[in-house]
Amino acid sequence: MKNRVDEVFRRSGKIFIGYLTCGYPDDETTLEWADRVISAGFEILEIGLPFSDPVADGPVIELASQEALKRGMTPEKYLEIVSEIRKKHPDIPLITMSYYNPIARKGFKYIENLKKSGIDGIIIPDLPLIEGENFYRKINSLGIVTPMLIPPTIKGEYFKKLVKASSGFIYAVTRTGTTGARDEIPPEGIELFRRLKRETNKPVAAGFGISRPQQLTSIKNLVDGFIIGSALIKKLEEGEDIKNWLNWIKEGIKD
Amino acid sequence: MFRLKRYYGSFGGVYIPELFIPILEELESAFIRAKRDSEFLKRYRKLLKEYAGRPTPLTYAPRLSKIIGAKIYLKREDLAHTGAHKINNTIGQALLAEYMGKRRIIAETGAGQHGVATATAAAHIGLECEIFMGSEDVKRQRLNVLRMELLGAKVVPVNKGSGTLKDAINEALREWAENVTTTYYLLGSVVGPHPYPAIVKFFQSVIGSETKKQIRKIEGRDPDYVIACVGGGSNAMGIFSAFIRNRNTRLIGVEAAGRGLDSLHSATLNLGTPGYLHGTRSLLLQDKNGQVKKVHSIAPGLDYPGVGPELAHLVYSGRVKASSATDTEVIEAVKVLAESEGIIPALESAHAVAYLLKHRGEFRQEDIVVVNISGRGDKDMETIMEALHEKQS
Ligand SMILES: Cc1ncc(COP(=O)(O)O)c(C=O)c1O
Repeated sequence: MKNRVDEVFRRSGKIFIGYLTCGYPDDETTLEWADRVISAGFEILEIGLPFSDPVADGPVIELASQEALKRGMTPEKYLEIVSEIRKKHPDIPLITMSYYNPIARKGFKYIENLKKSGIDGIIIPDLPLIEGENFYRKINSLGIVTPMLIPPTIKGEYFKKLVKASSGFIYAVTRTGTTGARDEIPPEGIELFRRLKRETNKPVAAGFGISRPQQLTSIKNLVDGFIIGSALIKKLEEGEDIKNWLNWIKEGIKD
Repeated sequence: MFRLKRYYGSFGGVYIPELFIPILEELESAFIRAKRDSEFLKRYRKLLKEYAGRPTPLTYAPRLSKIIGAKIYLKREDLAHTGAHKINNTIGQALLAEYMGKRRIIAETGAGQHGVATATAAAHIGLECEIFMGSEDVKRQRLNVLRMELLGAKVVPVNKGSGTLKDAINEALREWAENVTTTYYLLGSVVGPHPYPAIVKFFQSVIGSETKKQIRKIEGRDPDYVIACVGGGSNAMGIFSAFIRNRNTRLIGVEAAGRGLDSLHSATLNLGTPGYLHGTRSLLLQDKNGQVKKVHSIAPGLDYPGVGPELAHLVYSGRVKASSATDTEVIEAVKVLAESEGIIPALESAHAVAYLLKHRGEFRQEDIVVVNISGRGDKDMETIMEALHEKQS
C-alpha cells in the first residue's frame, strides 16, 4: 500500500509540515487556512482534533482547542472537514493529531472512518508506545502511518523501540516541554538529532517551538523536515502572507 | 522499564507523553529503593510522629452515634499538622524528592490543602516549592493561598478552563514537562500515571494501619463499615488499604453529588465511564465525544472529573461501594457534626458524614462504623457561612 507521507519524503529538499487545529477559529476558516497552508508550499498538513485537556500543548494550541470546542467541533465534524480538504487536495498527505481519549471513546471504527476520509497518518501524543504498541500496529494495518514522538529524554532500548515503531517519519521533539514558539534548540535537542542520524535511515522531522530559520541552522543537516504549529497559527491569525513567510524560512536554511 | 505492576484490573498505566516515561521509571525505581531503605522509612516515620503529630486519634462519637443508631468512630486526620491527611503524602514524597536529588518541587492544589501540606513539607525539608491552583479555587480558598505564601511557596493561579483542580493539574504537568529532569512533581492524590497511585497510597496507608490498631484495641475487632469521601481517592485508599482483605468490613466511598446527580456534580465512581486523563486509564466524567465534562462540588478538593485507578477497580470489582452526597446534604452534615461532637469537618470530609445521616436507621446498634474525617473545616468557613445564610433567606 502506498502512503502519501512516504511519497513526500522521497522528494529532495526539506519537507515542511504545517499544523492546524480543526474548527479554529471556525469550520469555514479551517478550510480556508488549509488551502492557504497547502498553496504556500507546506508539503504535509497535520490537523488537530481538539481535546478539552491538551497537556502536551502550549498556550496557542490550547486556546485554539478550547475555542474550537466552544464552537461545537466534534469527531464527526472533523471527518467532514478532513474529507473536504481531501477532495480539494488529492495528493497532500494529511495527518490526524489527537489525544487518546476522544479516539478511544469513539472506538477503532473511528480510525477506519479517518482512513475513509483521506487520513494518511495518526499522531497520539499521550499514547506512549509502552501502552499503545498493539493499537499502533492495528492502525498501521489499515495503511496509516504512525510517526512516534521522540523527545530528548528517551535513551537506550526504548529509544530503539520508538525508532522502530515509527512509520512515515520520526517526530523528533526539539526539547522537553510543550508546543509553542521558542528561541534556541537546546543542546539535548541537537544531541537527539545526532543520535537519530546514527540510529536510522527513516526520515526525521523536527517539531515543537519552531518559528524562525535562525533556530534551524544547527540541525538542518541532521533532519529531513520541520513541523510548525503554534507559530503558523499565529501568522494566520495575524493575516500574514504564509507563502512569503515559508519562503523566508526556506531561504534562511539554504547553505 | 517499569518493574511494578502498572494496572489495577483494566485501570492504571502511563498514558502520558513519551518524554515522561524515563522520568516515571526513575521515580519508580527510587520509590522501590526508598520503600526498602530502613533509613528512609525511619526518617519518614519520625517526621510523621514528631512533626505531623501522628498517630491521629480515633475518637468515639457518642452523640452522633445516638443520632445514627450505630457505634460511630471518627479517624481524626483533621488533627494532623496543616489540618488534613495530605501531610502524610507530602512528607513522604518530599523526602523521596530529596532522595532523588531534586531540589525543586511543584504541585497542584484544589482546596489548597495539598498545596499547604506541600509548601509545609518543602519548608521543613528545605526545598524550593511552586503551587498551581485554579483561579476559581484561589478565590474560594483565599486563606490557604496566604498560608502557602507565608510558607515560602510561590502560588501560580491558573486562569484556564474552569479554573479548578483539573486545570491546575494540566498546568503543573506542563511546567513539569518544561523542567522534567530537575523538578519533582508532588502529586496530591492516588491519581495520575503509574507509579503515583502506588506511591500516594503507600504514604497514605498509615491512616488505615493506625485505624486498624486503634479499633482492635478499643473494640477487639475490625469495623463493619469504613466510610471516606472521594475526590481523587487518597484519604479513602489510605484508610481502606488496611481492611481490603477483610471481607466483613464494608468500604464506602462518598463522592460529591454537587447540585444533584442529574445536574453538575463530580461523582466519577458513580457515573463515570472508562477514559484517559492525566496519565491514567480510569473512570472519567466525559461526554460522548470523549471531552472531559464540567464538574462541580461545594468542596474544592472533590471538584475533579477523574478518580484513582485502583479505586475505580475496587468499585468495578464490587469491593468498594460508591455513594454520593449533595452540596445541601453536606452543609447539613457540617452542622450536625459541629453541634453533636464539637468538630467542624472540611467540606470534603463532611461528604462521609452526610452518608451517615442519609442512612441513619439502616445500621444495627452494635455496628462499628469508622468515618474518616480527612480534614478540618477552617478553610471552608466563608463557604459554609454563605451556604447557611442562603438557606435562611
Ligand atoms: C480535607 C480533604 N479531604 C479530602 C480531599 C480529597 O482528596 P482525596 O480523595 O485524594 O482524599 C481533599 C483534597 O483536597 C481534602 O483537602
